[in-house]
Amino acid sequence: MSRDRWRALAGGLGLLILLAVPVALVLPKGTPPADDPWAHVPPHLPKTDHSDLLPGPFADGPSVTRACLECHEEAASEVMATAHWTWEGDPVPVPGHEGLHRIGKKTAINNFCISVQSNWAACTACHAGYGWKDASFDFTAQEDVDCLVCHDQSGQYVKSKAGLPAESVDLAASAQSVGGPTRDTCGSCHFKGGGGAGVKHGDLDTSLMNPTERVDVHMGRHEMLCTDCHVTEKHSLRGRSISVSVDQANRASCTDCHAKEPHADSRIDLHTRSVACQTCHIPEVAIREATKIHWDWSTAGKDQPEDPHHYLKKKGSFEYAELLRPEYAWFDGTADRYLLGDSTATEGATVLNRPHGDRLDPNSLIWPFKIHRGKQIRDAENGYLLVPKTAGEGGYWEDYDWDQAVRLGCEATGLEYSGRYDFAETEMYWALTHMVAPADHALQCGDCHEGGDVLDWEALGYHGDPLEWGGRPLPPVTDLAEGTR
Amino acid sequence: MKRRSLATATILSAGVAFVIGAGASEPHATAHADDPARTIHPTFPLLDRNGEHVLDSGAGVSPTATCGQCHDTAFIAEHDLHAKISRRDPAAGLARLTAAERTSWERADGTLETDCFVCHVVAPNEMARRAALDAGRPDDAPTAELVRAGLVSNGASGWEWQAGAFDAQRHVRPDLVAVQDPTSEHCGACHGLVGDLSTAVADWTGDVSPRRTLRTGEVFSSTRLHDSTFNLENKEVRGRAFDVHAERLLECVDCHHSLNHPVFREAREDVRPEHLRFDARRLDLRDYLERPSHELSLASGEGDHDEIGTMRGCTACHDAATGHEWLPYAERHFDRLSCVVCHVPEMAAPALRSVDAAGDVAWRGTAASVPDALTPIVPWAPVLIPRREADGRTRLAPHNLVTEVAADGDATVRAFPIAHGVTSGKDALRDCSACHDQDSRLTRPFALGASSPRPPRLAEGVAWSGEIRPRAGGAWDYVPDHDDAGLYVLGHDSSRFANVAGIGAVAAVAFAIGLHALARVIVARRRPRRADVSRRERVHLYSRYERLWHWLQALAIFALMATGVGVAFPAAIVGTDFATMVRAHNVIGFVVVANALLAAFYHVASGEIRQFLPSPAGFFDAAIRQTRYYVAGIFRDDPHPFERSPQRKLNPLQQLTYLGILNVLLPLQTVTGILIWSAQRWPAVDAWFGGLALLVPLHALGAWLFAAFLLAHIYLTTTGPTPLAHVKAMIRGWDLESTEPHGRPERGTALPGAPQPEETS
Repeated sequence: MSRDRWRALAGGLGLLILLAVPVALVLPKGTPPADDPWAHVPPHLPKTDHSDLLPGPFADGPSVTRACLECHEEAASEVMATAHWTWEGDPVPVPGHEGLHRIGKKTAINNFCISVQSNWAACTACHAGYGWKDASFDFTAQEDVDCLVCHDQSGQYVKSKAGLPAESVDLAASAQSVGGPTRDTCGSCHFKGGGGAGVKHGDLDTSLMNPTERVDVHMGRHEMLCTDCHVTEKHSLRGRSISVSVDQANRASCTDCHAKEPHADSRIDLHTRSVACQTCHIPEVAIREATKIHWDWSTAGKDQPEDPHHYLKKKGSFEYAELLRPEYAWFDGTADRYLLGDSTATEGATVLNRPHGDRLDPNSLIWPFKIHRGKQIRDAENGYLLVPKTAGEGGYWEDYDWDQAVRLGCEATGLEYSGRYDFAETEMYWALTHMVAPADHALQCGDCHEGGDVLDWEALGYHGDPLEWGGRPLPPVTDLAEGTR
Repeated sequence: MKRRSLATATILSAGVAFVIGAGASEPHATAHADDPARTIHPTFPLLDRNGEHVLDSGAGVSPTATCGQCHDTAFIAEHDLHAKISRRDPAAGLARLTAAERTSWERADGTLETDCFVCHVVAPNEMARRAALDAGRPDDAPTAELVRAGLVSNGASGWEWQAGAFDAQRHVRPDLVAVQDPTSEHCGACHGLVGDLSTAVADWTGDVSPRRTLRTGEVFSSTRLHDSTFNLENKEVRGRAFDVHAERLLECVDCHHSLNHPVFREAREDVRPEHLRFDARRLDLRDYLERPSHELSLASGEGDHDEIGTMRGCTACHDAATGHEWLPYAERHFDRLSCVVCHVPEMAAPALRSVDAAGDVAWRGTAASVPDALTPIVPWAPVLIPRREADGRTRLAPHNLVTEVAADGDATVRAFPIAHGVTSGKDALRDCSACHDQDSRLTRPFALGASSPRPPRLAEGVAWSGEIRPRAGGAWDYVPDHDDAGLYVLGHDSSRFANVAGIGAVAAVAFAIGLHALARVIVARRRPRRADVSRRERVHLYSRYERLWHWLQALAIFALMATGVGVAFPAAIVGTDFATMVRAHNVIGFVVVANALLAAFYHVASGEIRQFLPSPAGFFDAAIRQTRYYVAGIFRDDPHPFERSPQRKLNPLQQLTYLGILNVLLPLQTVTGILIWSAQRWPAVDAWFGGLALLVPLHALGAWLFAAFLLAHIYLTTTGPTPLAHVKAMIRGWDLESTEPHGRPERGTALPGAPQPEETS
């Protein structure tokens, strides 16, 4: 009997299949290959309550780290292998320079506060470590790794000079609160780069701590965290910026999660061969907070009315922009890099990190950039940019003496100073990739084509609007290298 | 509500009508036209009517004299759509809403000089032009358009031309009078809202102006709804552009092109040689520039000018086959519905609902007496009524209805077709239940909004389908009738007769079964069961294949009934959608037909078909015996009068029933089903059989009868030795039959050609 029942069941199942197969064959095959970005977003690990594990009290930062390392034995050595600790990358060739160079914050020069060298204590308030106050910092001391700056969830952990916890910090409360990095922890440094909210990037500012979807669709609508895209493995994060690197190793990109041609419209998909996702989907940045677009050091030192958005005696004059419309350039993911001692441009501004790319290079895409323009101190005779000591004893911000500041700076960098200085115009490119707008706010056809003014076609190397004049010559789709979007 | 005299309305409508922000009614120059380096149009002197330079005569400029220096303005005037309309007797029939609606150029009685500037000059001074026309000075209108600092002004003694506006050759400076192709903004200055609506605030006070937007709510703009200045309901989620063609950078003249434009012109299908796809011989650019036809291609329109029907339809540019894979019966939809039925799902701008003789206006889409920024605009769905399209076919198409109430209370309903404000597929209507449901868009009453004492009259010249019905409060509704329009809509329409008759049949059978079963249960309780299963022997009745086809058919028919109910009553669908129901029903229908054909082949080839053929000898006796048994014997626990054997599985009543099922009901369902399915491929065949309006109710009736049969069929399986015995037999192949002799000897047991019962494994 039971055998009969089993057979009836099997027969029924067989019949169902017999009926279901033709139905399944005829029903439409669903929408084109489903773009399922969530499949690529790493799961958020449950938070472990550390309040019983780390009772405290802790005398200083390193003692917290020692407690962490008792269980997370590999953590410090993992962090010490990353740029968050070393502030420099692997040795790589740099276009126009011989040999290999380590590029990173440690030695790089920019047109904001110019350089870390000679200004360690002030700059290293954002170093993921404790006590980097001069060139003698020991990069091998595990207990100096700062776990809390990324893992604190108490909200009261603040770093001060040389990366040490501020006086006010309750280390035990902070240690007991630890969890995965949040927008707040990443933002505690990255939203304030350049010395204030939104100064450096334009697409990263404190409005991203709790954004609306118009500010950033990933963080605002989908409540995503920085580490959802900057996927972290053994404390090493995916992500690259041409402000501190020249190659594109370990780059994070939209297509890590999204399909390469995700649009319902094949004509829009065709754009992905020449236009970065960011170009249409980030129509503007600095949506809630203005970002600095110009910094002229040459006017510093005057006793005139101060206003942090226009003039400070210590820093000179500024321009800020809100709802900044990006500038656009071909970009293949790599960039030039101005190295200490390089000559400045004889004509026009010296570009500190010009992005590589060309209309005729199939791997280049049109990318949006914030270009930060500045005027910074230069050796008038040797023709290279100088690093001034700004913060600390004898620095420009103490004595307002450029000559003394660059002499102290040169002691740190080893550059020769002729004794005469002037100010050179410089430009720095910031590829924009955050503050992604909801699709309904992306650029529309008319923004660029048929008279739209977002892209300057001729500056990008076209005869004119490619809608009328035709696009660039491209090899068949399959030949395109991946990962440049 | 705002009250105005007709005269004031007339002047205001021309003067103030429909300004998009201050000065925004002047067309914006495109980047190309703005840039003198980009235009190839040569510079030219401005001439007056007598061909004299305006600097010499001080007179107003004459466009035909000025442009006529190079272009054949006589030809253009002869071939000018706008001039043709203006030459017609205004009283003769442009469907204007009120006298106030007659446009300025109409009032010039057709004697107006062709005005090239209004469409071809960058940013003409539209306000000044209308003022000149309204003041009865049509000759001054072209000059008025050019009024601007540095060129010409209206002085005390007439026009004052500035010498500085002309170069050494006495040609007008191209930065002051730039010539270009008409932009959408040029067309929009008269025809409706176009261009950037993200900053300009629409002014709706020109409530009786002729603009198309007022009549239909059509807007031709690339601005996304949520970026517009419109105070739209749920604005933040409305991310589509007002019109996808505007968003994709088409201009009005890309579709409404000159009929002899060498780029757009296509040889008519009927005069093109069969072997030619493209005829390269076409008007030379030079000839075209000299004699450009100003007859603009139109899809439809009032009156009978040649241009109507010359526009490319949607499918001349778009391949409808791609992108509609999800849509069942796509061809059928394309055949009966205009593309814009789904691709203009709703109107995002207010439009007129009614106008009365006093100039009182009511609106659709807003409760305000004049749309303003404070009252929300609620997007509204247009009404669907038949419209003859360019290909000669009549399809349902979206319209707005505007009721004009005359002073004497007579009211006329006019229909204004909607063709702009198109959305891409993503934002188009994709919800089948919008039409395929009891509450269908196709028959939903469309409020006319007019409170006239007598029902409004439907204007002539429109293929109306439906009627006017009163609604509460003295107002009237137009209720479209898709039946009149020749449509039978699955899920919405049903035949009352088919359903009543069908449900009656099912109910009757259910009632009879209920009574019978009740009686059996009562009798069985009173008397111990006599049947002794152990005294019966196993008989192999059903071969493996017979069981397979039976159960497959059973399953498929149940699936057909479930999906059929979904198609007929979409409200009953759970967990999936109408389109899937339709597709699944079609496929399963074919499975049933295929299974039936295979089974028929099996029965014929094996000779088993004889099982189904009643043998004449003693048939009636046997049938009566069988009937008696069901009516009486079964309650007395009499032995079953018919003993089943592999050679005779069906009793006479079964044979009779199956004769009906297999020869009438199944073929009826198959044929009607296939015809309904094929309605999209071979509509002519379908129509020959009476169309869906006949076929679907027949199919539904058949389905009900099938359901009635199934009820009886399943109930009768319980009349075996045990209630489940027959079901088990159909599963296992073996049944238990009485070994007791029957009154009547069986027919010969050795039926020639009958397969030997196979061994069960």
